[in-house]
Amino acid sequence: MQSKRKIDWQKIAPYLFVSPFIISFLVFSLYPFINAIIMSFQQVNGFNDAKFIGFANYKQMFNDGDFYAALWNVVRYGFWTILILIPLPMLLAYLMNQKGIPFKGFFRSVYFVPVLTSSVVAGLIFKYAFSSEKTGVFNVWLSHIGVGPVDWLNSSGTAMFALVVIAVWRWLGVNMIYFLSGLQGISPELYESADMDGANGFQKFWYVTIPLLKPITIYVLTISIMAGFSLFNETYVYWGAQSPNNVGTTLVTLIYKAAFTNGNFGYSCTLGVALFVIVVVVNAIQTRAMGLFSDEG
Amino acid sequence: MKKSFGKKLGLAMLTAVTAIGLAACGNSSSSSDSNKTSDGKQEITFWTFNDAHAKFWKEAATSWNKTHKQKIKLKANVLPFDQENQKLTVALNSGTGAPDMVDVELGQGAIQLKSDNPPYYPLNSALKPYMDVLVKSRLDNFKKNGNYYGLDYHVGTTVTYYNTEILEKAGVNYKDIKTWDDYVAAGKQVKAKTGKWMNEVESSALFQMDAMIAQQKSDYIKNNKATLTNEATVNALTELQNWIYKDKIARVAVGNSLDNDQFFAEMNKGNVASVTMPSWYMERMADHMPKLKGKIAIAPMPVFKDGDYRSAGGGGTGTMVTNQAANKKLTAKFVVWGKASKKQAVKIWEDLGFDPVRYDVWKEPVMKEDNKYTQYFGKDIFDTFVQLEDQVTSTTKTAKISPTLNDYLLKNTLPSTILKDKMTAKSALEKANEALNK
Repeated sequence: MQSKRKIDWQKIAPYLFVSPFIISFLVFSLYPFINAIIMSFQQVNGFNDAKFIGFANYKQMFNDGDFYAALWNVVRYGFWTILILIPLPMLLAYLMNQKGIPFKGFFRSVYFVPVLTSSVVAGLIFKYAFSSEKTGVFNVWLSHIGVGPVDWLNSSGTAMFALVVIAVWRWLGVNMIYFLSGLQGISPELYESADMDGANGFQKFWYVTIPLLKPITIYVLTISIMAGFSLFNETYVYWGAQSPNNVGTTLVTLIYKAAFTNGNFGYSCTLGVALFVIVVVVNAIQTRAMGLFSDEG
Repeated sequence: MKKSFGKKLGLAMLTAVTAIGLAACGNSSSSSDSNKTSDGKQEITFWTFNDAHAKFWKEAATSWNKTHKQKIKLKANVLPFDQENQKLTVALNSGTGAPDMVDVELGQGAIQLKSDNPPYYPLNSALKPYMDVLVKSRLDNFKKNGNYYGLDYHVGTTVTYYNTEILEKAGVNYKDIKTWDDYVAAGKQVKAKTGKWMNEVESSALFQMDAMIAQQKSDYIKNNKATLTNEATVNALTELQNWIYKDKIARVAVGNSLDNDQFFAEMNKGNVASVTMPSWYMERMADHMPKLKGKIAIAPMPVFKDGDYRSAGGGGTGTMVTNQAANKKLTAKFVVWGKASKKQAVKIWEDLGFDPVRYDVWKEPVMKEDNKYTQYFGKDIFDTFVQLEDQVTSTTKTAKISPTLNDYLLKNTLPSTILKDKMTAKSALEKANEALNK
């Protein structure tokens, strides 16, 4: 009888080590998540006063013009940021990875610095830069080519431009770092053999680099989509909770407004659940389209 | 052997740290019951979004302790505006973690008073001794089902601030401006002679429009229904729209409101001849427009027609006692005393630059004494305010429909009338009314 049931620390230790995360995940993520789904079917009237109202919140959402405006805004925002924030950082990373480029370390850090600033502070600076006044930074630039002054933040197209500019400024460096790490994982022999086949620089980039960066590209695309849908800070700094004709309303703005401006927590949770479903569906489509789960994957 | 002991110790420590960490999460708010310090002082926690308010209440606690038996120890916590509201809403909803007393801005108060059981302690009995000397319309802002849940810092008497330097150049005497028609005529003269704007119009705030509606003794909410199509509301918005697009004496405010850094700079540079804003705008001017010191005259608002009020009340922040306060009665007494007792009311003027809710002190000579406001605007500020004391009414801000109505106006109505001249004020308001009463 060997089994004097001693505690097997070897086996328990890993669980203990991950327990802080698991417990805080259960308490701070899973529980609120489930609760939010429940609350999305409730009318929460201020304080300790909730009653179930079936699908009324969801009905309200589908009849809410602001919801569609917000959805359209984040889709457009996602489209533009992805269109710019994948090819451009990839190209930059490619350049940064070339031998013989001077001041590489310096440029890498310069591109990376914006993400270290708080998005609220950056938003404020850009808000002033996008001022409708002649003296706003962007209007001064435009005045050199005889255009403007433009009232940037008050009409739809220019407002979207202002949002995309801040996103590009902010995330260019981060995405570049992702691509850079991907590039450094590509074996130099592949380029050598491409050289022997007589490929030029562009061909090497197109036929070797891009395909081998696919995993990184998928990752960057995924986080970009999620970031697009959860856009909030920048718009809140630009306009607060109310933007003229909803030019800066996003899904998170609506969630925030439902909860903290209108005190309608049930509806706020409904919008949250909708955002969750939308992001999951979009990401599922995207990963399927990119062949992430296929056998070749 | 030694090794395994070290391992066990490590695990034990890890577990302990985890346990403490999690316990700390839940513990911070279990302080409800009595909360007395070792020397018998009642500890009162206070949240605000304004540094100056925190300082004001800390000093109030010190003077309270000099004259009262039950001493107070005030712990003030200053948070950014949005963060305070979020934290407070969560704390009040979850029933734990809220402070004893808290500053709540009028618009936010409206949301929290929507509930039939507001999470606050009524101030009625504490207010009783002071009822005769307080401006009643300011109390009503925080009233629900006969209970007063908050006491404002100020009345927010709305006045027109004129840049006398610009007006003199244009040959206008502001004292001759009695009606809005006079105002527009003067504005045209200012524009023609100096090229400056008479005013700038808010497209993302409602202070101007609210004041112009209230001065006509009207309102845009009745029995929780929007009544935006009434004559006074249409008049007010039409007037503002005309200033920009018909009379061309104003433009859309830089930064879209009169209460933001970009507009402060614009006004400070001497590009705008006047603004109509509540009394708390004095603080904005004194702090952000140093170049205008000694050049600003304070006058009653122009009117639409005879018999209109020459002022209105605008904005406001109430101090409320939460239903989680350790000693509700004492906290309520302290809050009311802190604002409504005579000495404290004077301090509200001296320290914060507000027109106190207790109006009998407005006539006291102490209101003319030297401070940064009398230096900036002259000594007779309250001579103007006193004339307007009974004319300070406001549009409804605390009805159930208020947040939605506010949201709609800022999002749709002002953009299509003020920001762009797309619709007439009347049709824009009709559209809003229909959407809101659907």
